[in-house]
Amino acid sequence: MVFSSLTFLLFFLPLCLGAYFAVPQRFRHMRNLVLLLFSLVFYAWGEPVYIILMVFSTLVDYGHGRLIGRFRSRPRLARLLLVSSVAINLGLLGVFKYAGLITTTLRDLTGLPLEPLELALPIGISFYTFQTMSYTIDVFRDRVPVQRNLLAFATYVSLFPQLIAGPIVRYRTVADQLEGRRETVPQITAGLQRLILGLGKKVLLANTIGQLWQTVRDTPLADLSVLGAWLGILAFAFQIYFDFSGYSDMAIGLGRLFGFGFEENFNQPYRADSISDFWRRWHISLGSWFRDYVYIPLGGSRGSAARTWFNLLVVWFLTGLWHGASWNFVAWGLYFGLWIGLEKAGLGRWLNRLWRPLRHAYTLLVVLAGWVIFALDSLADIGHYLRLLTGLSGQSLADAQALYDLSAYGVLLALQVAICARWPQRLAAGLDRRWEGWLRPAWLALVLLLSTGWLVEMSFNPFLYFRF
Amino acid sequence: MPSGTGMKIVIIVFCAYLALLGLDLLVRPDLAFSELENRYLEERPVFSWPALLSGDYGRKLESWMADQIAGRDNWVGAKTELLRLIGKRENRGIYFGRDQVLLQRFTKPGGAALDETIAGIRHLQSLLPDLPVSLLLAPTSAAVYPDKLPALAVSDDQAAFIRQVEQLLAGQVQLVDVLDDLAEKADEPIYFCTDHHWTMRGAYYAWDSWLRQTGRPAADPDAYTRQIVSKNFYGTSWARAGLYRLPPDAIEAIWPVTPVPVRVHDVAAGETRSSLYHPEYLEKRDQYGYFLGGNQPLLVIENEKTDPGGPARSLLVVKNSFANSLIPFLLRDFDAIHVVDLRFFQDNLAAYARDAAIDEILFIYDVIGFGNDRQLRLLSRSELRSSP
Repeated sequence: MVFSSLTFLLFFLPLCLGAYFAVPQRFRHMRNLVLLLFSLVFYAWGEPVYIILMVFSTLVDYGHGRLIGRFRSRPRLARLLLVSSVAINLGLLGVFKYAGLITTTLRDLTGLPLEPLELALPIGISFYTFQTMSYTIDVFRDRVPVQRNLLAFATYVSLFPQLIAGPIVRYRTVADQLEGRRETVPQITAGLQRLILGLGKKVLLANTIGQLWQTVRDTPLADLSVLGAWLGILAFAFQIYFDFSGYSDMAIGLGRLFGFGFEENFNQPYRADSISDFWRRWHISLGSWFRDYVYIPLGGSRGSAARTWFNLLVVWFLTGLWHGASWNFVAWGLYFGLWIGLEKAGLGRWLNRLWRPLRHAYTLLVVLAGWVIFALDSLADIGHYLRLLTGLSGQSLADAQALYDLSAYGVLLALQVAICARWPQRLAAGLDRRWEGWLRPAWLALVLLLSTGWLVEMSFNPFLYFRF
Repeated sequence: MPSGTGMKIVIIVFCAYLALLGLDLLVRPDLAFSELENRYLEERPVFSWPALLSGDYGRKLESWMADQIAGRDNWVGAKTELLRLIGKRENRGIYFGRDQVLLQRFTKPGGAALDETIAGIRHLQSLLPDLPVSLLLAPTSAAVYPDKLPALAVSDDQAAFIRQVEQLLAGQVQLVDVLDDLAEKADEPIYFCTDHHWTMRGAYYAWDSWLRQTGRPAADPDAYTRQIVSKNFYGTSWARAGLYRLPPDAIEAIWPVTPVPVRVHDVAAGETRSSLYHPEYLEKRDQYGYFLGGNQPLLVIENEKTDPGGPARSLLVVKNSFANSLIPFLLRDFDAIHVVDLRFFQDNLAAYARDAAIDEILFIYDVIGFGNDRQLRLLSRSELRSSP
């Protein structure tokens, strides 16, 4: 099930909230059980078969956690258990997510008559395997206590708010909340607010601008104009940002409804003034996961320059690959790794002397070019599209279709630029104070009403993370 | 956010809104058909474990909810209005044109699909080499009223497409291009504003153009009289666009001054009527069915012999719905008209034409319907075996 559906909003959510809050607060385990059951239904709705996989993953990490706890005094055994847990998790990912890519790539490289292995990707697998790995690794490092209560642990893994599209909530973040959280009225209000704003971002902003990208995507590259290509990639940039951050907002908001506090996943990424800054603001839970569990253990940037470049290569190769079993995602990851390496090597210091709008422009250009690599999967298309953006491909600057698209989507694009800027939020906060706090509920009601309307006429409502 | 009680009220209102919409869906009986959208609505899916496990139940449940939710038409209408407010001029292939005219976007069909359609028509002609065959390719309103398109809107060149089809059919099938003749009459209501079809007046001018291009005497305006039969017609474009606040169209019928008695056999239904018109449709939402009563697999229309001394003349019309308001005019020159809609007609067309002693074949399609057609190409498979 996805959040941006009528099934979720009108049936699942009211039922789940009703059942959850019907259980008195002192029966914490009962409330967890309600959450667990609803989470299983949520997951099973789209992909009933793969629920076995999630249960298996839960049991494996629960068991390994307990064993590591018991054999902590024997470091070799504990380390072996950690390796076993990580191997199983990565093995699941390898088989269910990357088997197709591995077999086709091997076939293409070696010419062996391999039959490509195409398994349907279990939804959310990249999120929950990373979450459960964070648990075993942190237990091994003695950062968190072993979770003995299987119910609490299963609730953590399957927790539906963050199950299928993140953020990657580390066990450490919610360890205490699993059995010791309190649901309060201000928290529920804040959660509801976050949920509605996230829904609006996804349904009203992302889906609407996504149609522009779809139009451009469906046009043969040779028939696009330079303006059309720019409109297309801008539309994609807004679509993926509002979609993904909207999803994270909904997840964080839903978490708060049930008393959980997740960490933020986006922090106005398009306001970044360097690529390193961008990745501190974009999909924060993924970047920090790779930083803490891969980059720093490898030695980070404290070794030689060569060693740092190697570490960056590894981390950004993996970051790219995480986004999907396709080489363009790897290229996308390495592309960012290269820019971050350059910024570390001195570009950053040089940029810092520039006027801030110039730094901002540099960042946006690099990010937009990155979206081209992300959104198109063949290298030939990526090259063509990038040349088209620079105007060097010899295609016309603007054609009738692009001018029409500009007239049809110009206002929406301008609106989305404004939403990404800082001043509308300041303005809203100011107005809200003046109206003694009633502006915000009215605004939320409007967003919720419009989102319902948009979902009713749902000709275009894609789920973008089916490859993650 | 307000504090204390205010906060609780906000929470309750939001949750109640969602829960009540859901509850309403559960208790209210389903609506089977949407008059506004002119389509059957998704009905409550039947639960079964296999359907749940395949994900089919979940998908059906979601479309059921979207179709049956309280106030669906208002949600859809509000969405379109709002998008129009921020600059969108198109919904599901329908442009919101100037002067409250809705126009279909035309995208030039091409490639293999078009070639196959052409091959189908040519094949049929080659099986019946003695019969004259013509194709009347109707333009859509975007070509006749280009100035009604929204600013900068893109719609491919229909004149060029019609010329292309003409070249592809050359030597076997006469293409009748009525665009210029219709464009001359663009100041008259020859297309509906809320529907993609031409009006009966548009059909009249197209017929006149066909008469002259096939060497027949031109239409005599004095032989016909006009009458408005409906003033509240909302067509298919209106339902697709979701722009529900536009004014309705009027439907004008054009009759011969001297009535022509006809018998209309609906072969599939086994019914015979004495009129080409179906006034009962004027009470429904989709009033275009007034002409011929919608699309049937096969209609055989007979009238008193036009020329009592001469031989009986039979015409086979292969068509989509654009022909429905034009067919009455064809009775001037033919004693029998066999009307075939290939979407529903299952027989061998060439054999049918031979057995029914057809004298001439006329294809009538609009450019969009012609480009999207999936049946004409199947004519390539038909063959003529000698009669038993």
